[in-house]
Amino acid sequence: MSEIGWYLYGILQGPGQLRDPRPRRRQGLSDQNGSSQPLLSLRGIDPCYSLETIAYQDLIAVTSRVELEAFAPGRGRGTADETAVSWLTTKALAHQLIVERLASCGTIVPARFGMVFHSRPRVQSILEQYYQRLCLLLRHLEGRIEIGVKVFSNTEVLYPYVQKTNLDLQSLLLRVEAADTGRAYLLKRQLERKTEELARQHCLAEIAAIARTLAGAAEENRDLGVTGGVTGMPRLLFNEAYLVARDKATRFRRLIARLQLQRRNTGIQVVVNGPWPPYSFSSLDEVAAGTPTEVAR
Amino acid sequence: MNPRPAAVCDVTLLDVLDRVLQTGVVVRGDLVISVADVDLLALDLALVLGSIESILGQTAPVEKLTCRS
Repeated sequence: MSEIGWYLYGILQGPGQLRDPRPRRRQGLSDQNGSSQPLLSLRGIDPCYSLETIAYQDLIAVTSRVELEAFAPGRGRGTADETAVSWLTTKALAHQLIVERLASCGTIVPARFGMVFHSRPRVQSILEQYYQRLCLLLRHLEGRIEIGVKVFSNTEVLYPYVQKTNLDLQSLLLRVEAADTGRAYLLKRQLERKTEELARQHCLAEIAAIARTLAGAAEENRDLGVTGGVTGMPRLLFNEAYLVARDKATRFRRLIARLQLQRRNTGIQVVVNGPWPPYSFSSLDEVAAGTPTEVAR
Repeated sequence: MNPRPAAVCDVTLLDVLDRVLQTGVVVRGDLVISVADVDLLALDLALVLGSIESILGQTAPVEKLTCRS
């Protein structure tokens, strides 16, 4: 049998949080005698093992045992075949589902995928080593959720929209239609270039407007980066995570709905994802650096 | 008029992978997979992501993966 390691899902504060509130809700409030299901009976990322907590002072790390071989460095490296993809997606989904269940019990600092430790004492020493920063982070994240917003452009809709709403382009379009074949070709090239440029400017202005609106309604935001698009596919222009107070989440979502509505059929699509446990706001380095300022107070 | 709140269960597989592989706390210590390896793993996984896109046909907001109760 392969050697065993401890896979980390996240860190919570305080014992006794790890009871799933959901079953009780389903059964109705009359059942208040702690019959809710302990989360620790949940299966881990390796379904052979259940969740285990490891405590240090008032912090608890939620882990489960895994066979080291499966997570050894190099696993899946350089392989982009369907087996690697399916292994990864299964494990990543399991990680997310467990973190999400834990988040439903209280504030969590969610761990990144793939952190495996040699022993329980090692995990405990991590809690000890980062105790102060983890406490600050947990306090900062309390009562807050993460919502993701992506903006895509679709040139098939965007270009006609830009042409329709710009007078210069409209008159150029008319000239193309009226011109003879040779001249029409040149004018058409000119129209394409101008459309492209104006669409680019339009996208930048839209992103700036969206970013301004949303930043004003969130506690914090993080740029998650955009990757190169595939030709002919909607292009990702904007990819941001927002940390939002739980009690302001509905307002935030309304704001997004308004942004979506305003841009219907314009080739700019605003897409929301989440809510997430605060993955994008769980950096210990930033806590150490004293940012966000609120944490440092 | 107040628009209805935007649906908040539009989570694609790529969204999950984005979050789980690239964000979340990283604690240094005696990791079996060192942080560098995690990064490497994530880098390789970025390659894998490309093929996930083609396998699943997901490059944009597409199918909903999970919907919370």
